[in-house]
Amino acid sequence: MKRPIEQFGEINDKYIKEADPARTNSPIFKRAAIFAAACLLVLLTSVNLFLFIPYDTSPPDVSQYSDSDYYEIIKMLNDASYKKPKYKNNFESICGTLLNGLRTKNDMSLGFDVVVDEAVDANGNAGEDYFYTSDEYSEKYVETTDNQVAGVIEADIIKRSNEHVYYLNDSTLLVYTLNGKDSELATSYDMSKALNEDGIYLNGAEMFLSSDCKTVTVIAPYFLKIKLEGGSRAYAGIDIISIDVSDLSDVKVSHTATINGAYVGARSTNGKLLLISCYEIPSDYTFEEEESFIPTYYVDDETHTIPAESIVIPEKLTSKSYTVVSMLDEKSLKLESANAMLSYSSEVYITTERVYATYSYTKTKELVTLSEVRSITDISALSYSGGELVFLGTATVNGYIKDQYSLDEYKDVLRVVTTTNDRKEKIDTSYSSNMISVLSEQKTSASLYCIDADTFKIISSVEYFAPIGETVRSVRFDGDIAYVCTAVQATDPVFFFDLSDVNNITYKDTGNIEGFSSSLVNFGDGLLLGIGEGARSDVLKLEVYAENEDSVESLAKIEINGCGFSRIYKSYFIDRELSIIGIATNDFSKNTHYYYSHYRLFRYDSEGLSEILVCDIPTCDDPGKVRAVYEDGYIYVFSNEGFTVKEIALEVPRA
Amino acid sequence: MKGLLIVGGEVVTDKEIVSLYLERNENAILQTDKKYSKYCFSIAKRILHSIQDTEECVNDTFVRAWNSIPPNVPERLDLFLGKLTRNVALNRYMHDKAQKRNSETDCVISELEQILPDTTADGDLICDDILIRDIFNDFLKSLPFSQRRVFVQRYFYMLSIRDIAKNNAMSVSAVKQTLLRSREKLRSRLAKEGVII
Repeated sequence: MKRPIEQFGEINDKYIKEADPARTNSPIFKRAAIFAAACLLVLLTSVNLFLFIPYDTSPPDVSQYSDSDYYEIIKMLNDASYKKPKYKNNFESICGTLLNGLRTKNDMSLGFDVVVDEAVDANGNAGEDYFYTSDEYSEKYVETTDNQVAGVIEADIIKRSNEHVYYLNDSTLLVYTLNGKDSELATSYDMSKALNEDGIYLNGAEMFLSSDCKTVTVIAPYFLKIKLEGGSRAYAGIDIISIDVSDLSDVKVSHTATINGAYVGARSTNGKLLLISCYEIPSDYTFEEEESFIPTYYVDDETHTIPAESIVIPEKLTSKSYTVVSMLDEKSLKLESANAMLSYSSEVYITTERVYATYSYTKTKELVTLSEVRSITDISALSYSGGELVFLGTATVNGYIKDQYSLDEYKDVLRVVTTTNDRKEKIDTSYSSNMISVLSEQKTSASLYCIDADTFKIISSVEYFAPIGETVRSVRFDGDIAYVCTAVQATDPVFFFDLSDVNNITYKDTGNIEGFSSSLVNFGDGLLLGIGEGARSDVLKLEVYAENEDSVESLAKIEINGCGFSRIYKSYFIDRELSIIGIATNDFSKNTHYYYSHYRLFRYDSEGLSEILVCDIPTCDDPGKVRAVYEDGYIYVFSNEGFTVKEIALEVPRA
Repeated sequence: MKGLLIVGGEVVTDKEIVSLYLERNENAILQTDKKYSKYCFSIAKRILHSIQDTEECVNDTFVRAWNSIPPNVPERLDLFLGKLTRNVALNRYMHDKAQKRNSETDCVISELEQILPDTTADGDLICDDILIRDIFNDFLKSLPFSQRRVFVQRYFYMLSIRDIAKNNAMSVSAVKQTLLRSREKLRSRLAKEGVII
């Protein structure tokens, strides 16, 4: 009989084995392992939380401003300003930073204020009207600018009367006499001497000449840097300067006004000056101060923000800038009304009663495996005929607008030509589940819309009429006819649309033609002149088109090779009665390896399109600054380098 | 003796050693000594506490292993030798009562015998080693791992309280408490089985 201690020796081997003191399954190690595992678990949990907790993607709360008249704008700016984190969590952020590096962004803030000074003369006297009555004066106004809308005069760097030409060389007004070979500079006036020493006038000044030819109103954009505590701030502004030119020996400023913002364009119509500017919201704006994010203007030394009801806001912001329309009295330069459109573009079309502004954005439709993205444009109308800018309504069309010539209002129908841009995007992870590539199928074409100008509803349309891949290069409306040029790169068809019955729109085209027209000019008698490029961008091409029974045909064409020329429509001299076109070119000489500037006149007659004059002019860098006037057998060419007079007798071509 | 059998210049596996025993190859003892002398030594020393007695005990263990394999064919040679060493050491300890008693070993033995005396109160022998063995196994099975490990280290491996505490990262008092509770459980189990009253 064994003793208990011996009997205990017969226990199951597995209990003996697990209790072996020499085995590594030591409680110490076990506890250490458990402790280490616990620590590791805590660490992993913490790291996971740090790395993978998703970032908060909601913008800051601005409900505290709900009482503000501008609350809708505040919400919109808040959402637009809030940048969703680029990455979803810290893990993606760290990986992305390591892979992509850091990016920086520069932001220049521009302030906006509208300051309208009381009408003062150069001596500081206020109140008197310096405009003379026309019967005391023999000078007569002659229109030089080929305005888009009759009766709505566009500002330009050249204006004229029957006796003088007024040419704006940036901030210097030059007045020439029109006297054939005896023409001379009558006077000049430098506006920059009146500008703050911290400011400079920028290129892009334009002007109007009053109908009595006694006042030149210059719209001069400037740049001003103001020193502040801790740094400086840059302002873009627009000086509006009325210059009395009734006595050329004593040219003086009669009125001034200032609008801060970037100059876009100006129109003069029915005694009103419509100034289009762009107000960029500064980066340091705060909702606490409405003046920091709402365009303002001064009246009687008081600052006023444009009322909320005078601000058009879109559904979503595509930019933090306003297109501002200011209506001033043309004589006194007093601000009568102002309206702002948030996120709108600078392409503005102005009729005798309305201002149309456009806002382009994209609309995305999510499908199962891909997204459809489409360019859309809202066209908003303001009325100014009642002496006040009033919002009327908005129409929406597919595509985007090229320029002001893409819109035209005729017989209460707004016609619009757009470049449509539809694309499909698909997320493709077939290459790697860790990589996402976007397959994009893009289709551009052109569309024409007819919109009821009262209801802003589309009456009819012709969509996607251009070959896929083409974009609108130029548009011209002429009554019931619309001319559209589309192109891919160096070939274009030109379309003629018959809009006489908007419910039955028909069109013809030329088929593919080499080159494309950046400007289309209705040349009268059913003729269309296209000004643009040939097979290359250094080939100036002029081509005349006419409509035949089945299509559009090219009647005549002329090309000038190896030259630079401007695409600015206002730089072309067009005389429909004489059937001539004038364009400045910069031509490269292979002999001297130098550029020389010329002014070329072309004429279309029964014999076709021909170059009738090549005139040497002082070499200038920018052909877009060259303007020409024809008067009594002389062509006068003006540039920022001087002026040239050339005799050329022209008669109205025979039919 | 047959010549030394060295396979690959390394100590052979347990299976190969057992095969040597079965072949009556005296190399089996050499390999056993090479692989398990330290193991057997540690078991024996905890009981005997004398180096000389321990060495002798280990030698006896190897002899007994030679004599018992075959017929025994142990699956786990280490555990077989461990039990053999323990038994040899205990036998030696109990026969050396007068001269070489050790208080620690006495304590271990007496602790267990307080629960399970080898005779009844009436002086009758408590027999049936198999029954006791089964009861021990069932009892150990019912214990949580940590308690079981402590109990077996105490009453099989004959570790001191201090060594058990160190080996299990416990305090001495915790080991004592664990052993006390475990013995109570064993007592209850034995009473339930009718082995003791």
